[in-house]
Amino acid sequence: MADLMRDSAIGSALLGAVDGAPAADLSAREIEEEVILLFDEFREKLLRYTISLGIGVQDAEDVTQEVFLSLFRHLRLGRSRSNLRGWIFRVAHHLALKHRNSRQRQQARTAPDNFLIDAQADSAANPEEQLNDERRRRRLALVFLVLPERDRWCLLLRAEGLRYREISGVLGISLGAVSNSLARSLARLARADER
Amino acid sequence: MRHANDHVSDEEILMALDGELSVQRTDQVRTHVARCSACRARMEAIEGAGADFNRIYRATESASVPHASSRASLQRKLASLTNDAAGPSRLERWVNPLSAPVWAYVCAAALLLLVLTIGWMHRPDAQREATLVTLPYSNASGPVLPDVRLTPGATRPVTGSEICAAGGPAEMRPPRPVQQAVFHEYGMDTAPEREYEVDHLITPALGGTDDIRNLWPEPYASTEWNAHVKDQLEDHLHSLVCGGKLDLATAQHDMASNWISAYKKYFHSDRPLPRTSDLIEDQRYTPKS
Repeated sequence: MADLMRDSAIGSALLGAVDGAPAADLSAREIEEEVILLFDEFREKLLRYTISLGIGVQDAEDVTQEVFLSLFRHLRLGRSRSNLRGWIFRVAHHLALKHRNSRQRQQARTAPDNFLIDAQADSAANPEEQLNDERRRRRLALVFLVLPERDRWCLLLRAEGLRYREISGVLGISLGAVSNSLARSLARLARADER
Repeated sequence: MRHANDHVSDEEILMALDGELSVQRTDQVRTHVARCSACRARMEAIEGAGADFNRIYRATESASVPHASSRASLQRKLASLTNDAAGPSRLERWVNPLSAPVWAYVCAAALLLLVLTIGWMHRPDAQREATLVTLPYSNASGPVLPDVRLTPGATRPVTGSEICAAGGPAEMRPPRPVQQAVFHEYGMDTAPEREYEVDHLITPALGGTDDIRNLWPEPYASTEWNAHVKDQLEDHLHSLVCGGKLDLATAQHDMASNWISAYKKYFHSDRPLPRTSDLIEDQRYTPKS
């Protein structure tokens, strides 16, 4: 999971950013370029994550834009560069929930109804494999959708490559709660997978 | 979540797979799994479910993600922010309080706190309450109580009889890289290491592990509630558990929740007792609640 991030050049820059040059020594133009690079790296991950929290595609785009505008302001004020990946996901998480809550009166839901079910089948697989894959996907989706919301968030953030410490920071829960939640959820998914 | 008969828990299996355990504990988990077919099956099931979930999640949600990038829109907005007087200069950040650096606010807040504290301590009844003001749950030299977010405590699956068969609390220090990681987690990279014990929140003698979640840098001498005092409590709880006067889960829970409160509860004293172990007698044990 963490390999996803470690293999990325931007990820390396982020993880090493604690000791990086102070933002006060960077010009606005340099910070702008840095933010655009981070946007390129994280846009798809943030859209995927925020959509999975239950907001629409357009809202997810808005949230993602707002995250990087906030990041620009954050860096311009010379604030902490420690663990920017965790910072980005934390801001996205809270903005997405804010969007979702503001729209819940019209459209109450906590995750898209088709979540995990609309995955594109592997075109290289034969029809029998595609059918089995479809069944497994539905089983996992059913288990996922009945998990407590916090357990779902932990699974999603893990799937996006965040370390437990980062997940704990995004959700404001203890490290022990993260590992406990993930172990419990994956055990349930594993049992569903066996059927 | 934990398994009897010394099996590793699902949680530890998952943390080993995700690289979230110490190197030493990861080796122990993998060694156990290699010779335990039941644990191996659980590890394969957990790993498979995690991989399946990640694959399906990415495939599903990537299908929802629009391909037309909003990069150009962001670039325009950022350019607009950048061109707004090219952002605040250092001088402007000092002059304009709304854009002052965070540490300026922190300094102002600290100064205000200092003034309020001095005023508070000079109240007529300040002497009586001095113990409350100075209770060292955390102080400038380090955390007497761990940060629950960083150190919630971690235990291995073990029974009371196994604990007692293993003997008393002859505690091994964690490996130096782990200790350094703990100092780093607490933002204390430059603290003098000899003045601290990287201590187990739940002592291994009561089932605690070397997991970083069970470790924090505890000062030796800068406060009365120091590492030596905690050692007294650990010895005492071990003897209570092995004497059948306290169950292991309660001992672990009380240590992890607040060891200072546990000390007061089990020693019936609001202050650390002198370090003469013969003061610690089993008959003292009658918990307040």
